[in-house]
Amino acid sequence: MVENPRTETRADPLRPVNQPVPIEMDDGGGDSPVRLCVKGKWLVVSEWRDRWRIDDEWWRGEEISRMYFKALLEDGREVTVFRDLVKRGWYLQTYG
Amino acid sequence: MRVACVLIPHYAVQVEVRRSPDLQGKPVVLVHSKGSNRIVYDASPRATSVVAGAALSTALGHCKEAVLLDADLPLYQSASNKLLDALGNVSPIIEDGGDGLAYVDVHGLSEMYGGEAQMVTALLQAVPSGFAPQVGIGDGKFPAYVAATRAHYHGAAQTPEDARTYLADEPVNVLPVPFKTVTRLRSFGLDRLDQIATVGLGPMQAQFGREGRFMWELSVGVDQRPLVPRRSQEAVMEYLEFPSPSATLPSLLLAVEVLLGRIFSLAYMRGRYVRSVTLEGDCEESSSWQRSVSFREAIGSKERVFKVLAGALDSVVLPHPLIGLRLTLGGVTGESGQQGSLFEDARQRDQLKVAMAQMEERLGKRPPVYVVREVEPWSRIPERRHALIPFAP
Repeated sequence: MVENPRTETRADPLRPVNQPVPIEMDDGGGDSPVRLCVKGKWLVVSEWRDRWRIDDEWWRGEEISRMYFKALLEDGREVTVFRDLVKRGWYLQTYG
Repeated sequence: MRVACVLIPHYAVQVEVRRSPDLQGKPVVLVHSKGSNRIVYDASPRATSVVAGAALSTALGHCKEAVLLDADLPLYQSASNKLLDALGNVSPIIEDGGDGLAYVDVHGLSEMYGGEAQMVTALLQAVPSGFAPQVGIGDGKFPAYVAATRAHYHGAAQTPEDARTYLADEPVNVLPVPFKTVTRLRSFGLDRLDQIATVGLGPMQAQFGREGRFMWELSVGVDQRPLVPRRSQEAVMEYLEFPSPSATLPSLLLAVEVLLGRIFSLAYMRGRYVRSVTLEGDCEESSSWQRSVSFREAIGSKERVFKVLAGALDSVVLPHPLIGLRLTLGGVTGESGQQGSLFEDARQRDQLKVAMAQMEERLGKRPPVYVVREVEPWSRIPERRHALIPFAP
C-alpha cells in the first residue's frame, strides 16, 4: 500500500536542465566566430574541434534548427555553443 | 485479576512534611499553575474541605488559615520513583498510579510469600520509612483502591465478593475521573456510587458517553482496565554539589560537563548509548528544578550529549541558585539509535528525508531541493533530455 504523503497536491513544474544561455559572439568579420563573451568576459576561441547540425521538431509550430560548435577557449576550457538558425542568436549550452 | 493497591494518602503533603517537619499538623495546601489558573495539587487532612483539583480561591474559601506552598513536582516525582523501585522488589509488575499510588499485580505472590498476610506485610515494609501506607486488595484496580482508602495507616483491607455493596456508600469523588465530571455528577444529584449503579448503564452512557459506561461499571465493582506495568529503564546517575550556590548558565554547563565526564568514564558505559537525560537541581529555599531532554536517536559520546544539552539549556531560567545538580542518563542501551539499512540508497533517502523535514520546519516552506530525472534521454536537443523535479523522498 502506498503511504499517503499528507502533502498539498500541486502541479510542480519541470525545470529543464542544460537550458541554452544567450551569449554574444564576435565573428571577427569572417565566416567563423573567433571571440565569445562568457559571463561578461570576452574569450578568444583557440580551436574549433567539432561542428554538427540539428534540425528537429519541424512538424511543430516552432521548428528547431541549430548549428553546434565545440570550441576550445584560450583559457583551456572546452565549450559547446550553437547558432540558432531560426532566431539568429548565439547560445552556450552544456551538451551532456 | 488480583491487584493490590498501595496508597499513601496526601503523598505530596507527606513528602513536604518529610522535608520540613515543622509543617506536621498544619493545614498545608500545595498549589500549582495550570495555564493562568492556580489549582490545588494536594492538601493535608487538616485543610478541611479542600480537595485536589479545586481552584485556589475556592480552597481558601474553605480554609482561610491554610499554609500555602508551591507544589514541587520534581521532588514528588523523584520520591515516587523511589517508592516504585522499592515495591518492584516485591513484585515485578507495578503500575505507577501517580503520586503515592501504585498498583501491584499480586497474582501468585501469596504462595511465594507464604500467605496473603505475609505478602501484605512485604508490601508495607517495602515502602520507604516516614510514610504511612495503606494497602487494599481486590479484583481490579478500582476495588483495590477503595479498599486501600478504607484501610488503616500501615494496614490493609480486602474487597469482599459482593463488591457492589462494598462500594455503595463511597462518594463519587473516589472515581478516577476528572474533577469536572465529578462536579457534573453531583449536579445530577449523584453523590454516591450506589446512586450511579441504580441509574443504570443506559442513562449513564447516554449522558456521559464512554466515561458514563466506565463510571457505571466501577460503581458495580467491575474494573476491566489492565494493569500497565511500569517500564524500567537502565539509568546512570551522578550528583555534584556546588561549592557555592550558583544560578548562572556557565556554571550550570560546567557542572553538566563534569557529571557527563564522570558517567562516560565508567567502564559500564563503554560502547553504550543513551536516549534521554534528566537534570534535577536542588535549589536554595528548599525548591527544586528539573529539565528532561530526550534524544532523537541514542547518543554514545559525552561531547554529543553535552552539545544537545547546551542547546536545550540555552534559555533556561533557574528559580533559585543551585546547590546541587543530579544528572541521570536514561534509556542506556547497547544499540545506537541509527538503524542500518540493507540498501545504501534507502539509507541515504531516509537521511535526506529527515534533513528535508528539518529544513521545512526552519524555512516554513518546502525547501528548494530538486532531483535530476531523465525525461527524453533519446532527444537530440540537450535541454529535453533531463529535468529537475522537486525532491520528495
